[in-house]
Amino acid sequence: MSAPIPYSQQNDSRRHTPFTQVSSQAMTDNHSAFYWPVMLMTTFLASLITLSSAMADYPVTVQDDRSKSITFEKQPQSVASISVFGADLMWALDQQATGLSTLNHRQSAYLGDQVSRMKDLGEVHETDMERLTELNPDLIIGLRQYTEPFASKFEEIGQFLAFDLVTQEDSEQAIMTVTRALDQAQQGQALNQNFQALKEEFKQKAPGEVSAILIWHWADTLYAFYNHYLSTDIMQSLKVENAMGRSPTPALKKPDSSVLSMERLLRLNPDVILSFTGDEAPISYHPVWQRLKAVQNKRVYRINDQYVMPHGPVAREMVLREMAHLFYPDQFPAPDNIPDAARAKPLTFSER
Amino acid sequence: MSQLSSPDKTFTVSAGHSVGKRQRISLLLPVVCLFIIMLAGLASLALGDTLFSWSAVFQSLTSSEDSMTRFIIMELRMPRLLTGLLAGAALGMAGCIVQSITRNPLGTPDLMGVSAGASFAIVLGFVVLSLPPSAMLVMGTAGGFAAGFLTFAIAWKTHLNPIHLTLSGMSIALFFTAGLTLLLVSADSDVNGLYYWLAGSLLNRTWQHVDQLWLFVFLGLGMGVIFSRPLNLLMLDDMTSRALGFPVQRWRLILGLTSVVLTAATVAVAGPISFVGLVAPHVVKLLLKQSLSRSSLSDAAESAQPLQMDHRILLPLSAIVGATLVCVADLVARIQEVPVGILCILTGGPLFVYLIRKQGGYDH
Repeated sequence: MSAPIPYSQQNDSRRHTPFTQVSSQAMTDNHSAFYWPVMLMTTFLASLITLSSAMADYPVTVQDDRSKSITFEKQPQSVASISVFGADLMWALDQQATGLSTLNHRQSAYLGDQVSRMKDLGEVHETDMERLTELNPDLIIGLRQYTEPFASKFEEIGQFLAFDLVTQEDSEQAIMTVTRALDQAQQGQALNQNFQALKEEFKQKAPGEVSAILIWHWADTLYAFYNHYLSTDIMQSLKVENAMGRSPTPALKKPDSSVLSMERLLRLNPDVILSFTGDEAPISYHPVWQRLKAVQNKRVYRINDQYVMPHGPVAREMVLREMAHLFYPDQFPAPDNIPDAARAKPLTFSER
Repeated sequence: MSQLSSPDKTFTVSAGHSVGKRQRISLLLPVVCLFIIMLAGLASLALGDTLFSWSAVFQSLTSSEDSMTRFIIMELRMPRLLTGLLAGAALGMAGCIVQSITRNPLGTPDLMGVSAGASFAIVLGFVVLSLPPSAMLVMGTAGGFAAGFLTFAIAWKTHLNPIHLTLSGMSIALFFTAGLTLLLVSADSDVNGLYYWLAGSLLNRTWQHVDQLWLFVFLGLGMGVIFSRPLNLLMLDDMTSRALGFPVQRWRLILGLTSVVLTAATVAVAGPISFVGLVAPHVVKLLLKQSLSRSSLSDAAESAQPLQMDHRILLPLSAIVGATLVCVADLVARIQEVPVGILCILTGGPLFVYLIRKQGGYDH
């Protein structure tokens, strides 16, 4: 089995590199007279940072989305992730979570091969406590909505941080909280700043005048995400109008999506449809599909886990890059750092 | 003229006059219900994400042009309306049959275990077997029939005695509900849609659903109407019926299977909207009692064949009231796309409570 490729070393020239790669990239591209002095200076600074990390001011106290203060007496060495977010963030920090939960009984494909080296901790809403205990993690990262009733159990096993993870603000705050606990706050800040910069860069390049909708379904019940959900927020940063619009209760983060009737979908008639869940097109027999612009123009795509769990640094960047390509294929090339299994695929609707 | 005696007093009524009033009373309720259905139905076709004028609705109903308005009205709203009407009628009649064959006023199609069996089979199909939505009818009907069969098989030994039939049905319902709960707790994390369906829904129903449902419902409704006389006799004590040579067990089985057919097909297409089966027959009985008390018909005249106990009237009226309830509930449900099962309780519940409080109940 091959060793995992750190996220910062992934070969994608178009990817806006996270914090860890920023300084080295700038220097290798410029072989000037200052190259070696700068390199030496950088090495010295890096050594200082490492030394200061080792001597970080623990105990560190952070607050999670439960408004609970958690104090870390020392730097956590092992992290178990009972949501994809934790594993994603660890990857962005060039580390690896020891255990990971599943969504719909599948490991998230966008995380690539590394998931095979993590212990399967069961479905995201029903953690296998026995396996988690065996891992004996210093830090457990989870989603508040699934873990609230069992929080005390998690706290018996290790330090526990629970997050809401709906909006971009949630994503940024969670990244800062975890990286502070890991004494990597600077990296966390850089990840957030880089993503914001990347969004701005893409926004400048995006032509706009496209509408889209992000749906998921169970049997013949369709749901669509509101504006404030991170994936649809990214969509809007690409000058794409989210056809579902804003939540009727904007002050509340939940619900982040709502039931969508086919009649309403027909009225909204977006240019692009992104559909999560299932291999088959959702209720493909329904007569409305054939009347939709997106279907007629073959712009309906089945998307993967990262769109419904986009709050990690890796996921949100993948979503941004892939969405940009799906909405504006002429302006944005297809990102090449997404594993095949996690790529968006066209959905076809045969007339019946 | 005939004289009828009661323990308290003596009444003199005209037999012909009595029959005429009975007919008028039994006709009034369906006429009122059909009027409500017509209004609610037209509103269902006109109201939605896009509002249409009455003239646009009538034009769509009468023309065959290929316009977007006609597509929305005829391809999206009409099948939803018809599915709701068929489901409501089926559940209203099934509830009435179950209440009668078990002699249990709290009887609902759930009492035979059919709703639970159908729901379990459908969720099993999605969660474990990953079947497409088009398999819902087959799975639901198969599950409902399996549950109904088990209920009758367990109670068969006691000649389908009402109490044993009830207990048997409850056991089977609990068994399948336990299985359903097990599936729900072991299901994927995205189970919102599953709960939505389990609350009873008419969202996104198409002509395909109407095609799947109408035959079962008309078959069941026909059987119910044809077998209403034996159902009247089933209300008698079993010993008395048998002494009169009436094959109690056979008719209880036939009528029970009728309710199974009606319920299984409906749950498969619209999810479990069980409240309709409970409330529709009671609303009919309470309204009939109210009508009778307002008329000049005497208690004594009615005691010979209480109108609210005559299944020739009760069954079709339960079907009509059930259809009305679902139709009106869905009209409200579509405003925010709330599951129609919840709206049936929210709209039918207060009506039920009002009638009970006003009437002080009725004798079963």
